[in-house]
Amino acid sequence: MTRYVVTFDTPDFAVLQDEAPELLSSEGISTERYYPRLGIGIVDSDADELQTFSARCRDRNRPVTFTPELTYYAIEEPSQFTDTDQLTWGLQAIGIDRARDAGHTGAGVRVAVLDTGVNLDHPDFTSRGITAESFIEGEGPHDAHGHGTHCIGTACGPWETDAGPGYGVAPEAEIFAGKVLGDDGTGSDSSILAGIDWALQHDCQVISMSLGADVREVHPPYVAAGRRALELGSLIVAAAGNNAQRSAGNFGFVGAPANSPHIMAVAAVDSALRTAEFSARSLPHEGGEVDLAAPGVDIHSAWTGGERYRSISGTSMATPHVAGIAALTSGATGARGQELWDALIASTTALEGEPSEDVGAGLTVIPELAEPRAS
Amino acid sequence: MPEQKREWVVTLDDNYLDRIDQIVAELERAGLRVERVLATIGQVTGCTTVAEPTQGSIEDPCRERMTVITGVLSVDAVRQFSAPSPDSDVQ
Repeated sequence: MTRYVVTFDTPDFAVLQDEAPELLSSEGISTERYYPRLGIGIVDSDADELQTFSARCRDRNRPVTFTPELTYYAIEEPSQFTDTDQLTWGLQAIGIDRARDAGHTGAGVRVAVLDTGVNLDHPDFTSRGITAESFIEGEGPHDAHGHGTHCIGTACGPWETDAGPGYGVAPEAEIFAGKVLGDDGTGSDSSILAGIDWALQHDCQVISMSLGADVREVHPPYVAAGRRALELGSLIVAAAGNNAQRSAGNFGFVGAPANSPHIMAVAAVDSALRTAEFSARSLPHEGGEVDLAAPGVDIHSAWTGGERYRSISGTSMATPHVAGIAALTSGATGARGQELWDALIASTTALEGEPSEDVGAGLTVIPELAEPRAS
Repeated sequence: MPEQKREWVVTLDDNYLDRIDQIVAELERAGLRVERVLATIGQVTGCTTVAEPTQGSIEDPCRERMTVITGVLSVDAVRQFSAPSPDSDVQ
């Protein structure tokens, strides 16, 4: 049985009002959804039955046409952002203007980025007071890799530069750059946990970790570290992982430490607000869910080694967007720890067509923030 | 006999965070060479050396001794984490 639209092709209203419904009924077709003013009925039938009906109507000089019912969709402008001279697409997508209009810059908020360190020579950061510390034996806090600088740029970089688009969410947040990954990009629990401890000692409201291991199992030390951090008023956000290859049917999984219950896992979306090709999907265990999504494809930010900027992709890039939004939110509302976690979840836009296993609560955006009171 | 170095993260029970120094001393007695004492998150990292087992046994006497110390919640082998190589398309 299929739904059809049956149309009586006559201008004679008397026919449409009286004769047409009788013809339908005598064929055993319900007139429940027959509209006499239009001479149109919606019926559940099949092609054979309607062919017979149509022939019978033709014989009586009451021609009908029938066609399968169509489904209609609201026409929406597809989301598609692009870098402009003023702002990266990522900043546009998260609604950076809400922060700019209200004057919220993350001032007074301490953001720790635990990564490959920071490019202390970068022109966009020379005027920022950055606290940098290395937890890698034999290496100082300077970033020779680039990854750490890029993440710091996204979380805390400028809204405006003299050489390209603004690319940072919280431009006046206090930066704590903890080098927990060596110049080769690797690090162990000892350095990462030491970095978390250091960030807590400095009372950082936000800890951003764009690092991971492709292991499904929750790693126990991060359960305790994450819980204690929340209790002490520090929110840890981590990259969900890049182990998916969605075009090949592999949805990946959230690795450690993001799969830990007290650490937020951030997935990546592209400029059309679709889950990125590489972005890992939620694990079924508690804590293994993707919590939020943020811009993570072709993200322009600061780099190292004389290369001022680079555009790269990863859940590593999505994570500092959330860290920056957390910084702005904490700065504006005073929210910390679990309260800040809840505020971020509440400040999301649902993404049409993207399941929660991929994007959690949705795209993290800057909430409406009251203007700072004059002090 | 060849020796194997193993790295560990020892997580303390919530109720024993204020006795971390005492527990560190006991961990050392159990054979842990302490690298870092992370008082704020209540964890201790360090390494043990164990004689390489000839029969492939996975028992580690040091780990066993550390696990039974009062105030120790868990003893976990250290994991490696990474950011992708800088030339990788996906970071």
